[in-house]
Amino acid sequence: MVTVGLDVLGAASCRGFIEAAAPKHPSLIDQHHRLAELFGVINIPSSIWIDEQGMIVRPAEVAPAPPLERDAPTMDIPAELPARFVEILGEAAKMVIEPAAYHTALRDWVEKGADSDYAMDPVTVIQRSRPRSADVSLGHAHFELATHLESEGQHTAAIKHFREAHRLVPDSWTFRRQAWSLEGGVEGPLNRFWQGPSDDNPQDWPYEGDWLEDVREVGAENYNEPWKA
Amino acid sequence: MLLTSETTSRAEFEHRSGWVMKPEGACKGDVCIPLPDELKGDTVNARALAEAMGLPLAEEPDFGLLAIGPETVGSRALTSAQAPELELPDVNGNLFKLSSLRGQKIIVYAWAPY
Repeated sequence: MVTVGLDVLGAASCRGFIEAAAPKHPSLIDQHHRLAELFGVINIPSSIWIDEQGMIVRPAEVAPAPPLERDAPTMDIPAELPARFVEILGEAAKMVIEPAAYHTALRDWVEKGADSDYAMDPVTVIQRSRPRSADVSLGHAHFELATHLESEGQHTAAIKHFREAHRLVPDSWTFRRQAWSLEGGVEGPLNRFWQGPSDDNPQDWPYEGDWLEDVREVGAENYNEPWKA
Repeated sequence: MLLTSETTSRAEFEHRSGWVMKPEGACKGDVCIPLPDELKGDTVNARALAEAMGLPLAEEPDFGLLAIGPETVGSRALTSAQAPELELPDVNGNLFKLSSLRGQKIIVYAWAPY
């Protein structure tokens, strides 16, 4: 198991979560979303399975987290939630997460390896990886410009390239959520989860969509692609 | 791959893109894209190389930056089922290579703090 945190803000923002989880496996930081470019990751949580010979046997797909063995680290959420956040939680509650089939498949592969029905042959692995047109590839190039500019402190310049990445790779939630999470909108621990226009200055929001608008457009119940064996 | 100059070295391009320059062209897995000899030297013009390989190029002229997009061979994110090398830092900045786990089953699990 290797966990990879996708965030242009890097170790500074991932550290608290990693230390709370205290993983015994490698836990890496992916500031420029290499997992998107190399494997076609478009949302989190996602997984890729790789066998002992270094062959991918399942490409990037929605991977529901297993049940926690201990209580999740608690967040310091304000007692009185802002209205937008109440709406976000309402949509999040409608999202369909079905871990049982996925975890049955994972255990089967761990036990049986190549004989597992869930391990795909190389041709199927490639076919089942995300579609990538020239536009999608160009969108990844813009996203890399954006994360590079952002990490250099050039936030305003980064926005232009995040917007291009969103336009060119419309099925990537990580590209959108990454950019939205950098805009704030509220002080405190909810800052990066606000992901939309602030109540005070909604006109300053620099993106076409936002978390609530886009999740509602697709329908929260369709947010996670259904897992397919 | 991000570039701060139009000229890049062959070694840098190979390391960052996963493509390897061979006599038959730029190769990844079973796929080779034929290239003229001038694009296989020790230093290469990134713009010409991207064009010859059919890779999109995005620019940010105000900051002198170029970025070459990934290949679209077969119109899929994966060109090969052979896992590409992934080298990333841990929270303390120590680089880790996915290939160091060869011989074990690996599940790469993507998450984000937002």
